[in-house]
Amino acid sequence: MSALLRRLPLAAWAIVLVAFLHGAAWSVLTPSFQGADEIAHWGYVQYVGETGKTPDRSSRFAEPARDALAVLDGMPWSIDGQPSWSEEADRRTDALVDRLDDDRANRIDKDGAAYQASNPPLYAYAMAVPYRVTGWFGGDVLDRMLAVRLASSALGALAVLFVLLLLRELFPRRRLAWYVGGLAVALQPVFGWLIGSVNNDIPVLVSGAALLWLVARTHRRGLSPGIAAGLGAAVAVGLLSKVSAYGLVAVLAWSLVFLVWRERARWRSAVPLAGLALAVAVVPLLVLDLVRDIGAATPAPDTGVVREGAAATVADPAAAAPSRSPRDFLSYLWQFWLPRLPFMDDQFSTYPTYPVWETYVQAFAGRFGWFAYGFSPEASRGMVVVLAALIAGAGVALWRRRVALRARFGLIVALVGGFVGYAVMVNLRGWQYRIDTRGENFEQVRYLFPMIGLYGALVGAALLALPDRWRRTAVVLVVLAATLHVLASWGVTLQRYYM
Amino acid sequence: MTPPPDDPRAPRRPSRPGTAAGWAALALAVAAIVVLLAIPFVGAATGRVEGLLSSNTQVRVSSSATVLEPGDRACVRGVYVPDGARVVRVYPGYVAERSPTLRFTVRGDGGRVVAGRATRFATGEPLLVDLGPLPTSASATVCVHNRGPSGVSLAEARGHFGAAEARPPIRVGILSGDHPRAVALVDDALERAGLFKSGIVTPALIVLLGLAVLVGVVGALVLVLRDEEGPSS
Repeated sequence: MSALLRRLPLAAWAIVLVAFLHGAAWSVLTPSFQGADEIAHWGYVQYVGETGKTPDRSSRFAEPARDALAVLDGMPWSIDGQPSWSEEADRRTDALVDRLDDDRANRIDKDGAAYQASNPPLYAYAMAVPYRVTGWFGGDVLDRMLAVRLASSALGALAVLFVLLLLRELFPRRRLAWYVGGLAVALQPVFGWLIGSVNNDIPVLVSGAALLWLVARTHRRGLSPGIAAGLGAAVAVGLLSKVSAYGLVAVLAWSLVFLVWRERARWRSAVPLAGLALAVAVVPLLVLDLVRDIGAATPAPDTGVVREGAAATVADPAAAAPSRSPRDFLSYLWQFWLPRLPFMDDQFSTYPTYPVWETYVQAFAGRFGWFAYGFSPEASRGMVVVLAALIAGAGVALWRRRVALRARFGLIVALVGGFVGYAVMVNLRGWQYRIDTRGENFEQVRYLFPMIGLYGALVGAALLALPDRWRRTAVVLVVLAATLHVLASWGVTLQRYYM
Repeated sequence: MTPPPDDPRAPRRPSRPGTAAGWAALALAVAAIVVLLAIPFVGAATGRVEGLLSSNTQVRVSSSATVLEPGDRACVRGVYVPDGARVVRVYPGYVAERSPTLRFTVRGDGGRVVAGRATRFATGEPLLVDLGPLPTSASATVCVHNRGPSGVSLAEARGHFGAAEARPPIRVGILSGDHPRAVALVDDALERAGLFKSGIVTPALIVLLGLAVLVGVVGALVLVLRDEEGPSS
């Protein structure tokens, strides 16, 4: 691995640095607790950071520790409200936070993690390190939150490193293709916003990117004990950070089918290696589950804090629970991605328009801050054009190289099928969640981000559809467009919170 | 030693995936998916209301509005008025053919009151009312009084905990001048972005990190373009 990293060109490291800076910029721009579910994620990290133990799962509501609550209450606006900033309130809050910080009891609340407490603790334990180190230097809750956000940005940059390694496997002789794919990921605004917050989705991004890289590497170089363990470890990191990362197991299993098929001539060694990969992936979680009953009875989340004024949910308490039949899941899945057919019950009646458009396409164009603001639907339609152009370009590039790619057909099917399987698993979780909560929706674009390496691959492949002489110009234009996208995202954020 | 099956040196076999028929099938499947995915977007103009997206807990379809009938008054407390502010901004929704007269008052912390009125305004556009220099306040009270003759709906600040009365507070903005452009507000915005965060988060740091991203992008781009195409290792 270290030799592999040493061989990475300087440009690749520059892209990793850009990803970190992008996350860091979002971490100072986004108001405290305005990352997705950040109140509960912070509660988890803070509890682990303070006590070294995992929090209880007794409450569906986040009850932040006193110092975090002082920040939340000190800000003269709500999660869902219109900001009304006041320097005096800021000074008051600072003074209160300083005072509260003197007593460790003010930093501990066992219900701070609320509905996030059912998740495994790996991310929280990792983030407990910057949390504690900042405390040693006298940092208060706000300093610690910044430190954890920055550490999360570093994790996000690690994900981009794995994306670059994946692209290197996919385009070994086309550096421009993997550079442009890596930059497209590093500068994706929702990705940057996510990694600049406190959220256990971030290690799952790392996990997914590493898994895709290792799958591609194995297709080129064969399955070995080290690689098998690496494949399993990549998935294990995700599973130990978030329950709903189980979609990665589907990606791994699907890929292993192709890897074993590829090496069927020596199946006697390939099959045990596949078993090893699966074991390394799931055994740590199973062991942890024995100790801690992971993921049981995940309570439905609320908007975050116990107090008046919480936003209404779409759930109708009087509504009958949806059926759990496979037929209903297939109907749910169909309706999420495609127009509803006449004989199907409407499972998305609360959506103003089409679920995939609202949930994935608009959100990929830009939805931030508890996914409450972003670009207009009209502007988001530009993302449809971009994605269509990328898919068309990648299709053309693949078609032109179809003979040369014959040997890599299995890899392409493994990656595309892995993405489809992962997306279906997110929908499966969404369907279960909808049943458990009687109608609340689950899917968000960030849940697809563990597969973001494939977005980079799409951009890289589309570049190869262009003639050689246009590629450098195209790289510049793509990077320019991505940068403008970032600037526009910062602009709507400034407008949303601070203007 | 036999090359692995996916190795280009391996002998071709017509039954394996990767043949022309396999590629054609894959292309057909992808084309079908693209067409099916495109259907919603082609038919998107259904007249249904587009709105903000969901989180795990809510779908916000649109901003709520409160209706001020002739004679009604709505107030918002705790509004921060920076030094040099002149303009009050509200968001009228539905306005009757003959728009009502709205009287605005801003009462500062020291009790000083500034007032003004708006008589003609349009549906769906932010209404900016220049009241002259406003009293600099940490917690001013802004009121809107409908003098008639028709009602008007104004966007609410949903979830605002500082409601001054039973009526939900309307969404009020305080701006520093006439029709200010966003660029003119960046200074203030960056100051606010530094509030309720770590002490090291200052406007300078935010700008510095933003510039660092841009410099990083340019640097990465230069390195990328200088790097010759070829084997990566």
